[in-house]
Amino acid sequence: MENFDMTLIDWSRGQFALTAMYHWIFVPLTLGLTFIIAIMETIYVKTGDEKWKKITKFWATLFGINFAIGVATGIILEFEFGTNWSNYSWFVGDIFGAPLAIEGIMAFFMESTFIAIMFFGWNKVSKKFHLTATWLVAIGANLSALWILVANAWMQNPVGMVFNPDTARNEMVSFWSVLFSPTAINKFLHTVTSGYVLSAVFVIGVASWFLLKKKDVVFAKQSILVASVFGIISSLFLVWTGDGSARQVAQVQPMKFAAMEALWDGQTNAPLVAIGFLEKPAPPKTEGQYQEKEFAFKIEIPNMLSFLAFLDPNAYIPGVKDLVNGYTDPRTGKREPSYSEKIALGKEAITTLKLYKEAVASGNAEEAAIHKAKFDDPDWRNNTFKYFGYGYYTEETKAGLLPSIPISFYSFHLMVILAGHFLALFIVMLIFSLKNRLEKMKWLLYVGIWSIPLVYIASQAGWVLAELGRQPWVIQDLMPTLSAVSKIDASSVQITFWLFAITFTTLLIAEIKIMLTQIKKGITGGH
Amino acid sequence: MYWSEIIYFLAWPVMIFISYHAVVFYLKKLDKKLAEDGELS
Repeated sequence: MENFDMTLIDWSRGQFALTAMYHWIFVPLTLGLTFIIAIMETIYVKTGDEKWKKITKFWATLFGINFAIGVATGIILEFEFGTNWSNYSWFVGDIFGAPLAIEGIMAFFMESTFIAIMFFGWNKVSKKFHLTATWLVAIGANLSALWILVANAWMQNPVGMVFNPDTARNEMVSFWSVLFSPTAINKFLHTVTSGYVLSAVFVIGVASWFLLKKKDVVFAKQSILVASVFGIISSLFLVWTGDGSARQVAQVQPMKFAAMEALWDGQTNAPLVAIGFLEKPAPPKTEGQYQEKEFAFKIEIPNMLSFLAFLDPNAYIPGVKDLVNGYTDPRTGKREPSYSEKIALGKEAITTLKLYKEAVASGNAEEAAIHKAKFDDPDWRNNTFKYFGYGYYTEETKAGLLPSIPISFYSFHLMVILAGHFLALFIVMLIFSLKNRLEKMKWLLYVGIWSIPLVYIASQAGWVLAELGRQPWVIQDLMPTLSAVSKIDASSVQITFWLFAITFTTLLIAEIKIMLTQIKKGITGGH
Repeated sequence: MYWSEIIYFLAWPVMIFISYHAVVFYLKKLDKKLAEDGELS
């Protein structure tokens, strides 16, 4: 730990978080709005009603503004893997690079080719060809998200690879294991559907403003109906995939799962905290110890956490303390090593690699073969090398192996509570839409408008949980964030951090201004 | 080998398909109501 420049690490993390969070402001709207537009255009092509063409073009304009800035922030994010995280890129570039490259192909070839037809092809190509292009933009945007999410899921649950001690790199041995990792599929489905929910709320919010202003009233009502129905189905899918994601986290990232629920002591029949507030933390008793935080207030659902994690209300859920101190599952009898044991195993793996490299360098083939044999032994890989990343920590610094419990807890609960609000909003909007009473429900229209910032908060909270909840790991158990960073001057990262912060904020303000101008113009100029 | 994940993945296009048909179904109801109320020309 003493060899690491923590200022550099903190600024590098800050810069990546800044870029990723700005990127995620723009991307979810792209993912969902494109399908809403494709559905609207399909209605236009099937009915021949020109009004649906106008509706489609209006929403497509807002989509286009958002898409351009989303691409700009995404490109910077990909460059940062090389500039700020070169050790990470070296360690796993062989695996991480493949889905990232496919993502690039999807984004730049499929999406960008057909987006040109979508925007500039009206009246130049046939209706059906244009519709096909719109659907391909929607599918392409979502498939490009698939590949980046496959890469992200691999970091959270590294599978389908083997470590090569000669190059000190992890190499892919099964592309299909990486692609069809349950973590990857869950992450993809949950993430894109969250984008659909965000887009549905966005459409409802903008259309609610039209109704309040009594502008393009029929267009607004029809847009709200499309978004409500799409939103209800997306929300149900979001709950289903969220359930699958939580189960995956419980299995492969138990510390993140415990942090999500601020569960300090493991238990069978674990309840789910529906709503809760954490007390101020007590100061740690000794240096390096974690700060335990109890609940000041909580409402629990009995047995639900055990059921959520393992589909068994009696299942044992390890708490933070169990994971740190080691535990034996009372039902299965399986023993999980303590962090101290994992640190020792990690150090053994690092030392073995060092000794192997020294033996190779000095031409001692016999000793090199002894160390190499360990890397070829599946038992050693599964019981020792598996904890490679823990070797960067010591007894004094092991508190750094815990994520932030309050951030994980609050981001998870905020995301879930707001998701419930959006589902309720979609249902109420649909009911009053079908009764044609939306104009009279002014309070509901205001709720629709104010749900736009709320849906962005929920969307960001989801990623905060995913990324901060897995800390300190950049690759689960194998590589801590502090060892992934490029050895560059911290001041360089500070300068680019502020440059990016100013640029992204300017872009965001520009996007909001352009969008508001476009929205104020309306679909028919207010008639 | 990966059948459960493949089937799970295919739920995505199914969801989009269902969404489209559900939108069309409810849109007909809305258009009927708007026509009854004299808002749809």
